[in-house]
Amino acid sequence: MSGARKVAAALHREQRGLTLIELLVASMLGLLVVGAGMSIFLSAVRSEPRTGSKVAAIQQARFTVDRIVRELRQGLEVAKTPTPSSSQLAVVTYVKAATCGGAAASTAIPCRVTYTCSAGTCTRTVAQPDGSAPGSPVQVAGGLSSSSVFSYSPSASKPTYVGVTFAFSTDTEPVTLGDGAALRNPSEEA
Amino acid sequence: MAMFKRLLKSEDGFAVPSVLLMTVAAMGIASVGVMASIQGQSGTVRDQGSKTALAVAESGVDQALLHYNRGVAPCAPATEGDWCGPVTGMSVNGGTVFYWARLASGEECGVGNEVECVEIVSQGTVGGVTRRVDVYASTVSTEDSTGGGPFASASVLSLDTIELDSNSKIHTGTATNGNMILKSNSKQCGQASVGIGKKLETSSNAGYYSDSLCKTKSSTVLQQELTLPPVNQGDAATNNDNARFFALDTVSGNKADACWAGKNANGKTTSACGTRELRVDNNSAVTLGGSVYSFCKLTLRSNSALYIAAGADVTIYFDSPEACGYSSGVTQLDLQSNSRITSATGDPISVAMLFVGSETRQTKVQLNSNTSVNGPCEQNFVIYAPRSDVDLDSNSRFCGAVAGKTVHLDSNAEIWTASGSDDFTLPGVEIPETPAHYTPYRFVECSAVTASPPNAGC
Repeated sequence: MSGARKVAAALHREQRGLTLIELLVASMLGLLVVGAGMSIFLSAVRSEPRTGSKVAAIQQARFTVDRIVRELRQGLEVAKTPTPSSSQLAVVTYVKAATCGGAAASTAIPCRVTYTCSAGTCTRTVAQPDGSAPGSPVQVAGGLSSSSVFSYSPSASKPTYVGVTFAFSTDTEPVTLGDGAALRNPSEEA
Repeated sequence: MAMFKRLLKSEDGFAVPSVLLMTVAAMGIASVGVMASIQGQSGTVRDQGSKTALAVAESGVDQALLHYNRGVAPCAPATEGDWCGPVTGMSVNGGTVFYWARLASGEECGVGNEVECVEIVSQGTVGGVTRRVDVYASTVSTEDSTGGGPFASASVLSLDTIELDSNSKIHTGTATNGNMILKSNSKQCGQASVGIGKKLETSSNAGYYSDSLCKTKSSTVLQQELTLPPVNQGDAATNNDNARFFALDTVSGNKADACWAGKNANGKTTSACGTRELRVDNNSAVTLGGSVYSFCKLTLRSNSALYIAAGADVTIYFDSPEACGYSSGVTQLDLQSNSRITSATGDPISVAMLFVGSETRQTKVQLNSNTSVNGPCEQNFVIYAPRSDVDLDSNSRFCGAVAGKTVHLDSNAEIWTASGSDDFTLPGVEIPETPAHYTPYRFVECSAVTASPPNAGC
């Protein structure tokens, strides 16, 4: 064999690449992986609208829990009317607004904020501290699996701490958002 | 066979690409889960951060109040009423906190003109999360009471508890070292202060108002330590005007119904009263014209009266039950059935009834059944009994200042304030100056951004 042929043979051997069996096996594995991925992807795409709305509801609920807890924290008293219950809470608290139920402002004034939960949704209503001139209810949470949201300690008649729990049912594990706050501006008459 | 071996041998490159492919695929799938988990936990981390920052900010408020309650301002403003701070240099729970503070008074505090307050804005930052809070804290002003009398800041004082029941009312400020209990339509009309960690409790339509006319409901209850020094009667037990009975301090009405130290006004011996005991019954009246008296007991019954001569400034000491030979439970001031103590002419007078009391034997002060200590509330009456239980019952009415171990009002009893009672000073006793105790009463979260003035956005 001449020198030129030896060089050509060596080059051919080095550039041989994958064998047919390698390619077949690799392709089959690749197909399996891609197939599994596609299956997951399609499943995710099919469930995305439901999951998306659930996630949005939970995010909204998270924001609402933050807001309720902040209002409780700077609350003066839990109003006796309506009677505090697991689905309804009225708290006289500081709200950053020019007037109760009016436009937002930089300073806080006392207003009565009422949260009412039923049929999986919660609404928020702002009124004067004595409960007069209530505004329109605004939905602040939805998709709840239970309307039992508020808990009171030591008692509903004279609470110093109010707990807030939003529960959601999902396809897998149920999701629960829980928080609470002690009233920092307690009224001795509450 | 040889050909198969050669083929098999030539499959050297099989393992590497397969493993690489599998690894990449596995990492891709795993990363999806990891990313989802990180995204899910980010909200929790944010919540935890904001809560920690809030706690750190509140710790700044606590530190500022600690300074004020020790009587030392945490910082000095350029001019009075201005903001001072920020007070910096504190690290709490891995975060930083700094605060501003200012003194305010009157309407700014929103809890009554006699109250001064401090406003504190504190900002806490933990892990890049910032929270800012604005807190008002107030106290009864002790400025006027420095070296002054016990009633400088409130006209009804109690070392233990103040309890109101059955439509009874107090129309002036109160202060107690214990709890204040309002029951059954009773009303506290005036700023109330309770002991440190104690409460004002209301039940059954009882109400708490900021004004003496019971018009404006209030929820601001102050907390502070109350000190009532015991009565120092000096030599009053022996050096007094008791000898005026009944030659100079005369009786109107039936003289047989007035009794002093075992004898009635006719000079006849009677068992109706004992040593240093004055008793008046049945529409009779005695007029006091001296300035210092030392009693063991004063009893007025059945429309009787104790008149104070016009313009008189009378101090009546009630000696201890040990010195008087009383057992526990004695009532040293006992007014029943429409009896009254008042000015003889309606002109201004000043009467202080000071009870020595006892640490071991219970003593009582009792006004019952339509009794009154002055009607029009233009006189200056003081009952100072820090070791005695004071009880007003059944439509009794007192005008002036009262201090007792306990104070109890029942059945339409009323206490009104009298002009000048806040100027009363306890003879022979100096009231020690105590730092004011500030209690938070308004908590508001602010926007997180530092602003000017410090409470902007709160």
